[in-house]
Amino acid sequence: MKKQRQHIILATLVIIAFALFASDIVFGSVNIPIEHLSDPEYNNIIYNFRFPKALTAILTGAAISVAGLIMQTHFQNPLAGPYVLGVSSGASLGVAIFMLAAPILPSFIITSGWGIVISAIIGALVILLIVLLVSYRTSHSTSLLIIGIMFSQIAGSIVTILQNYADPDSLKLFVIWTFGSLSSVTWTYMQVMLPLTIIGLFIAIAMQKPLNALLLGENYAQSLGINIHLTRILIIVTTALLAGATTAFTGPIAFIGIAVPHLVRMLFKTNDHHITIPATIMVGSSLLLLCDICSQLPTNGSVLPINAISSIIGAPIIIWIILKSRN
Amino acid sequence: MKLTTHNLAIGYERKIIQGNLNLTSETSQMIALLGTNGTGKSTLLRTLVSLQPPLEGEIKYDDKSLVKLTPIERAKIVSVVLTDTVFSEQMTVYDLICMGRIPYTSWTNKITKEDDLIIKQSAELVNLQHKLTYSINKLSDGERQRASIARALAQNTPMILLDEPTSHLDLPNRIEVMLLLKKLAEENNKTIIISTHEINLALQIAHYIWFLTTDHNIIIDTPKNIIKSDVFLQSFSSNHFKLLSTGDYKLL
Repeated sequence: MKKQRQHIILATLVIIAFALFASDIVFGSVNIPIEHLSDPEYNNIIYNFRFPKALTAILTGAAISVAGLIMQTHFQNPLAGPYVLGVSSGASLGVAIFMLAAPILPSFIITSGWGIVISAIIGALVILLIVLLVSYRTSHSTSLLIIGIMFSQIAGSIVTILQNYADPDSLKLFVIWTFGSLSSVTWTYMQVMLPLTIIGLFIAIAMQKPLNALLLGENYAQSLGINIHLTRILIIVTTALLAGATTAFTGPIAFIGIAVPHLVRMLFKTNDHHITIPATIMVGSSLLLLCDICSQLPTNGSVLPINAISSIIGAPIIIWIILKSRN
Repeated sequence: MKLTTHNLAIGYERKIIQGNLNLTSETSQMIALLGTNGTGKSTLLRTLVSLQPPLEGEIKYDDKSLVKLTPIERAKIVSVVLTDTVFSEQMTVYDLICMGRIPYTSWTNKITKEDDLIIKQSAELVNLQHKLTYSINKLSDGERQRASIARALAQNTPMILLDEPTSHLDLPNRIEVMLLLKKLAEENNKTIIISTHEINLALQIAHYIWFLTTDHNIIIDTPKNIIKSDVFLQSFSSNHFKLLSTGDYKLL
């Protein structure tokens, strides 16, 4: 019974995601009448702008939400997520260091997107390892959250300091990056982001059994025959890969990673990663597609920053979790 | 399944808590591990299941050395009930017991008909069959402990180690859990080793006592004999109270 219900919800989510994907392509700052769809000028907008942007929303939404899910399981903390624990800021810091050092690097590394991605992943990995070390010293879930926010602040400060010393050209390049949005992902960047995100999601799916065991804590997981060292490494690498590969191009996106796993557990009434991972992928992509559609609502031709929308949706969910866990 | 240790030393990094442990256990025995705080009861249990490494010596399950077992092989020989508590709104009693099947399932953790049967039988053994669909958050402390034991039973291991399974429970529940463990040892042919502070109950219910003394020694005997030991009686007595050879306490 329960299984049947879960499969129906999952199927519905797939349909919703497709519908949102189509709407995200149809609606935009330029109104495209359906009868003129095949005009080369509109075709260009759709193929080179809207399609990669919608695809980016799907990949990013799925990636940061799954990163949030596996972090919550690993830290056994409902408040864990790539944004709140500073992983996204770490990725930004990695990119800042890379871009501000750009003049001394050959230009193809910058334009291909690989340099940005690798530096973002390394940045994410470094912050994640630091937070992990600190988490062994505090078991309280809200203190971990505050520590994460502090690390974000430190990473942000270092970025500001770096900007002061940067030469004007690379600074300009970096400032443009910080405005990063879903629409900054071109087909060139997509060639980097798509495979990395897919690999990350596949590793997460392959780890569903150890992740389930971790719901009981590391000791029990180990007693159930799970190789805990390998699992820990895979979780950290996957989180950094998923958060890093997407943040590298879109900039940090707030609160989606923490909120989506909670929505999924509420909707499916289960912790089982066999269900929650695919469900998180669907809900995460749908939610970010929805955020993107909302960001284009202003009719004066401007687009709202995606972070503004995702915060309005995500932050209240965090407040709700904290209030609920107090009871 | 026979557990033997040879010159086992347990502890953390440089601090040896107990050394020279030569222990054996047989099938269908319930063994109570007694000792005052800090004598290494939990450390011994954790070492016996590889949750921490031994400092010296060897642990064997039948003829196989613990260090040579793969994690999965080990998980099919020995299961544990720890003091770590799990709270989750979404996890039902069924889901919790289902975790015990992890060493047997495929990578997708798919539950077969056989797994399902074992899960239900495990719930019946601890008398929780009517609460399978309840969230574990909604259980009483006694029920939660029984659910944890059912989880270990579903793991289908010849040995079950339990770390203070009766702490946080009221008296009727403490007795209930101890009797349940003894029944599982005798009727389901399990070897059960528990660490506990319930001296009185342990003396009445367990088949054997492993008593860890404060001066790094271990005394192994039946409850009947150990209660005659002065060392045993003295370590649980003080200036203000005395443990009597009946297993009762007397205030002085």
